[in-house]
Amino acid sequence: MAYNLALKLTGNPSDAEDLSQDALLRAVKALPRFRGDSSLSTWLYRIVLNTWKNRVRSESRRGLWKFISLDWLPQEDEKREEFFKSNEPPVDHSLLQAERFGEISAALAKLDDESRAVIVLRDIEEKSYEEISEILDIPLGTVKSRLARARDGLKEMYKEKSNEPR
Amino acid sequence: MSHVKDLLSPYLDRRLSPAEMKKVEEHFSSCAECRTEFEELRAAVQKMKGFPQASLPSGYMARLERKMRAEDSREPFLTMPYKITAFAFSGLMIIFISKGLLEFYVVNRGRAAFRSSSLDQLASRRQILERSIIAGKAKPADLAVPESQLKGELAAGDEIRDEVAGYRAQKMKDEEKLNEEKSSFGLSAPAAAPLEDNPREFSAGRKESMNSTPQSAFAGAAVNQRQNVPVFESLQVRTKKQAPLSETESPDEGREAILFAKNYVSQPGQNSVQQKIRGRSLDKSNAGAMNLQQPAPVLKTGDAFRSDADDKLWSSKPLGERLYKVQYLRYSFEVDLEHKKIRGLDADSQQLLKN
Repeated sequence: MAYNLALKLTGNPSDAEDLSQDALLRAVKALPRFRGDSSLSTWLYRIVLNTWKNRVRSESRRGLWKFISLDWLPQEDEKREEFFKSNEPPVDHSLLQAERFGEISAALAKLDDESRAVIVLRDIEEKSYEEISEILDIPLGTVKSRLARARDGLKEMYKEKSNEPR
Repeated sequence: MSHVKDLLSPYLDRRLSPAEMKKVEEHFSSCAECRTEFEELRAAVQKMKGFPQASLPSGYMARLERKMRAEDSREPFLTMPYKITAFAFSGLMIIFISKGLLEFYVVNRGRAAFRSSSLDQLASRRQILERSIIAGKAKPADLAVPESQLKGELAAGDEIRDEVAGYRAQKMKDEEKLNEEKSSFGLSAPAAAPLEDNPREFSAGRKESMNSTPQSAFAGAAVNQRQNVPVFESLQVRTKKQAPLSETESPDEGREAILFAKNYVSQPGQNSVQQKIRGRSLDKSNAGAMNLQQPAPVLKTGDAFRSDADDKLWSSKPLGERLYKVQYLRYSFEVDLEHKKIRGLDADSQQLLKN
């Protein structure tokens, strides 16, 4: 779960591995302080999101943050398929998945961090507004407005893309 | 007609009140623009839902485990109080070292400056003098160290020498006094430490004023009891550091005491104690009885006088005013020269005389 969430947030497997492992280490350390106010899953989401926000903040402070490049994706189709092979659900269309991943990641990469987080949580992870409010530690109204803004941006992005001459 | 664009996102999630939901639906029936907007929005969101589920990269768990182990071993080496102490200590060390270095630098700079200026002065004075000599205005002797300076040095040297001599004299006096006290209590003089290392030179220097000899360890002859053989005849051990001589000690008296004891044990009435003693010793060559009339050999100051020069099995040790302890092998006698009598015998000697 942590790795997949991290992959959606960072857009590349290497950063996703680093981020998810750091978050898991933090979670292991913080586990004795887990009070059970929220579900363990929500708590873990929160740790991953916070770790990611800290990284983004420190990297942008250092001026190292850059738009996610999709160059890391294996160029050969076989290797792309290998990358997206998963046991559940049974994958028959790895190549298709790889293309989809590239497309979505590119779209997410164009969003700002706040919008990306809320889109990932609501539209990819399908978390409820309440859960998002808890994970991001923001009021419910903010979740609604932030999500509306993020979706609007996403819609405009796709609209522009569809208007592009082929 | 107002559009419902702001409600499209929550309408998609059905997060509107029933009234608002109804309002949006009614609006869609009459507004194609908002309907299109909504369709575009739904399509964009739908695309997001197609994000594929990726499997963990190979070796992910192993790398995570490694990180966890590394994290465990990276437990804070020093706890906070120790960190503070260490920080403070290093700060102090830096201050002390810098202070030391600064002082060293300043002092050395000062010294170097002083030395160079003194040398410059001397050199220039010498040059002036040399020119004066060439011009015939001064004598070569003027190049020597000024008399006043020399006097000063000599005076300082004398002062130090006097001080050392005074200290030595005082120390010697103290030691003599101590030896005297010990002698009067019948204790052997310790191998105390006078300033001189060579007793012979030392006593030769003092021969005129002090009619005594250097102290040595008691020159008794140790005997290997099992074989009854003298292991060493006389302990003429001349330690490097010897005590100064006691005033009550006299080579003549020591000699006299030995001869008296020898005479005493050789008397017919005593049933020749020396014969008895000698009978127990394998060393018979040195055990000849001595005649009192035999002139005493001249003992030089500095010799281990306690042992008879001819018969080294005999030795003496002053116990008090004209009172000596004379030892022959392991038998000892107290000889009172004043009253010309043997005052005491040790247990061995008494046993021997009884037999």
